[in-house]
Amino acid sequence: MARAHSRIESALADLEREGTLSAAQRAAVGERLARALREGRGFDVTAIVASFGALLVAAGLLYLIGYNWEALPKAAKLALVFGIWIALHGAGFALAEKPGTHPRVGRALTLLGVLSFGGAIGLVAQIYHLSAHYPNAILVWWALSVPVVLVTRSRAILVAVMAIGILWVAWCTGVWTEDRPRDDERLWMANFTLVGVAVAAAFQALAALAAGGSQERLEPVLRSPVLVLASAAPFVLAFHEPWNHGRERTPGRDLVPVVVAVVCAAILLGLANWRRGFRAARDGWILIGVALLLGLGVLAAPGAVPILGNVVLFGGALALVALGVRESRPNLATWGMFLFAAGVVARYFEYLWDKLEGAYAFLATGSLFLVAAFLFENRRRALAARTKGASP
Amino acid sequence: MNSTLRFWAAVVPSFLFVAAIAMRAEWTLRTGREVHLAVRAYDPMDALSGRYLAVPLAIERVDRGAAARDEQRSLLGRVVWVRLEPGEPFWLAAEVLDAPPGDPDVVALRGTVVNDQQADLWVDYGLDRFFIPQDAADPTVPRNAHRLTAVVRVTREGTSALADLLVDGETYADWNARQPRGSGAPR
Repeated sequence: MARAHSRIESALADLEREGTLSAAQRAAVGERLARALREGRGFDVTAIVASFGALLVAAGLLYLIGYNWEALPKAAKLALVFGIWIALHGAGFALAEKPGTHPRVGRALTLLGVLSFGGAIGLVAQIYHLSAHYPNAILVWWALSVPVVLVTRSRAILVAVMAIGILWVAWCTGVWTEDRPRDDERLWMANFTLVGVAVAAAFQALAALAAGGSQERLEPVLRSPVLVLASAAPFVLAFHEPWNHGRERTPGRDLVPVVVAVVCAAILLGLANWRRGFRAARDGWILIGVALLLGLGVLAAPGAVPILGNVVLFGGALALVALGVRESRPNLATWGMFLFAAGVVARYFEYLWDKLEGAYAFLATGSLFLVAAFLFENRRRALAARTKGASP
Repeated sequence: MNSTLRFWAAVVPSFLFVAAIAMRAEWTLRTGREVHLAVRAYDPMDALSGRYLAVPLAIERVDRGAAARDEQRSLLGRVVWVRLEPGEPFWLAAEVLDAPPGDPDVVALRGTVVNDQQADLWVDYGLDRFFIPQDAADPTVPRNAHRLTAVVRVTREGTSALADLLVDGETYADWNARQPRGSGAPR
């Protein structure tokens, strides 16, 4: 961090010498830079070390609970768990807020408190031999941890809460799909991937809501899983194999998780649209459109799903590259190229692998990877140069 | 709202939730009526809560004829009350009801239908895990070597809690204490 700061200072001095910046402008830039660094917008080693410490202690606590120590009576176990849990939140608050002498360690302890909530649920389930068909306890763990994120505005806690939320959505989708009378791998593929697209749209909406508001520092974290979650559906549904067997239509009720997820995402996007305007919510609406298009394909024309998947996969990859260049967002362009290459490799394995034998298959695959990597590197460099050139 | 109040308002609901789960289970154990149910156990792990014996109850599978509803209508996902009748050595499922029985002398377990196919209904009562210490002995190995019985407490509303597991009529804790040390390391 210090080295980067001194390099920027040196560049500012050069600009002043060359006459591009006046002394006052240079001082103003330097002051703004120092303030940004003080506010911890950069890479914060202390926070990362403290968060890793919290994760390790949480793992240790869960391991201890998992061991199911029998020496303690029920009341003592409960007192221990509640005592540790309340103490963690108390210490976290004292260190981070009042008096706030060690904010990073304090936030790590609050993160540990949030993770201990799951441990406490697990321990009570263990003591009373409780179980449930649907993971409702995970839902409550997630829902009751959201206010902690809003109050603390901690990115580390947000990551943990997002992970708990995604775990709940995936678990619920799995239970629902497993309960269907028809054991069909197409249903698993469609439900998981299309719910993933809807969750990506929901994160996009939340990122739009966070941007420009009091929770602005959470916006990049909320946006981070969007591309991965959104890309899974077209990539997985583009494979022909599962859709070749049987052409019967999927009953609408089998896709209930997708419908619920899409409705929830649409509500959040509507809110983002209302508060921040269409442009902020646009990408999320596109994702909702993709989920609906692929979902309708699964319901009405299962045989056409791989075609739709391929169209969305390659069309989406090209659109991402174009959008990345147009809006000077290199990460979009890079992801678009990666998705395109992944699609080409997947189709190669799907259609050509069986037609080649032994050494030829390895030679051809290795060459394909090398050529793809060469093209990928060239295009990436060129696009990165263009997007940088387009930046104001 | 000051920062102290805001922080504690955010975290206290989570404490209350866990306390409510514990109190509900404790209430059921203290006030519920005791029934003995047959189980077919095995021995897995839970990522959060540790090692347990899966104790699927024999009454999880109920004859569809015991349901009073229209035969054509699927009960999948519905909450039902399964009326139990005392039997020897185990209580048995007698009837599937839409609502809790009004009669306080009738024992009915509340559950959710998780599978409704052909002649049987599969009902989940949330009673299929008996947690044991990591190094405890496993009565499910070898298979069918012991007769396992779930001791369940049921309230008038049908809320239930697994109170104990009997191994050949003996409580699990007593049976485990008699086993040689190190005999129960998880596989």
